[in-house]
Amino acid sequence: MSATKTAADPRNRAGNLYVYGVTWAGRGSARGQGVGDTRVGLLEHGELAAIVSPVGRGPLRAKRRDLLRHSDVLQHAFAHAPVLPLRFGTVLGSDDAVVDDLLAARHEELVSLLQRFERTSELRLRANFVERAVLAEIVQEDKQVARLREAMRTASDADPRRIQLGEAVAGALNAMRAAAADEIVASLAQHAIDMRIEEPHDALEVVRASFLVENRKVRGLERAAEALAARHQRITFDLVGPMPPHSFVSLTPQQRG
Amino acid sequence: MAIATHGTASNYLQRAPSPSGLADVIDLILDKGLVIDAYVRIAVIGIELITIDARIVIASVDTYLRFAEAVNRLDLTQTEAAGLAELRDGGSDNKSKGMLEGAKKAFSSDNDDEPSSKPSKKD
Repeated sequence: MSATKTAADPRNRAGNLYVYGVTWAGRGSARGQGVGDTRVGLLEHGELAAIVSPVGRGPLRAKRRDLLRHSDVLQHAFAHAPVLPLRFGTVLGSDDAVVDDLLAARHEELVSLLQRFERTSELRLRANFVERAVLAEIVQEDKQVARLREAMRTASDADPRRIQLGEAVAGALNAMRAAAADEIVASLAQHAIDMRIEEPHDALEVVRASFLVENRKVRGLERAAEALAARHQRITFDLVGPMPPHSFVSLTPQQRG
Repeated sequence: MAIATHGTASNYLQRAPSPSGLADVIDLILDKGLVIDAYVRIAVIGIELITIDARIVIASVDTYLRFAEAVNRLDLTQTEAAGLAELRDGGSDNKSKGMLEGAKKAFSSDNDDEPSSKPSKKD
């Protein structure tokens, strides 16, 4: 490809390339070691640059460290320009394949995605009940739970009321979760362009969600999260970002021509 | 990676500017990002270990029994005396996690190449 300029190791022209993401040509930044302990570089075509590093021919044996590298490379690039993250584990057969199958093949669509995500960031929030505090609150405020719990002090392990007790606790927890989750999401949504709410991963999880936020509104969302944390004494809040829009990017499916 | 906790002791917001540990990264990037058609050879081996679905089926007898056990174990006088302050600065994550979170912790405890525990909150 005559229009291709590469900062990746030229000796690797025919080898497999791990692709981290796509950014603007001329604004991209790549540095350090990537997946497979090789140097990260940029492969440019037209208005776009792929962030890549060479990997071996065989199947990629990804380690936990590689996941962190994938994330670090994208965070670094994102500090300089908008980045469209690719799914972890994306490998193409050569420099030419990166251009032909990605940068050239989807040029228009990738350009419009980069434009859309210009000056935006993903922030991810996880909120979890503090187990002991929330259970204590349920025991103190739910009469049925308190009564069953008292009865279980002297009951046998096989007493069927144990299940009743657990069910009552789960019910109370679910009600508290629903109310808190609604409030948290509504409060943060005011600062966001878009959001993705995920199903809770465990019994104590209140919210696991990503918010797409204009960069100038990041501080506003942070303040809202701080206010929520101050108000909800029995919930811990964990806010990560700004990051590239991992949860918000997608391409329209396209048949191989 | 810097983790700052904003505000006073009455707040409880952990703030990280970027994913700072394996759990964050798994949560954030696995199954996310652009997928580019059939051209791509996604040939990743060895990640199965960390994609265990730790989801708990909340409406099950097992879960109910765990809840029952958790509230029975609860020492309310201790909770009252200790107050929220103690719950909050309750040392490392590991210590403050109770039984309900067991499943979630399981997958991050078998790191194969580097530890990823997040710095615990100070003060």
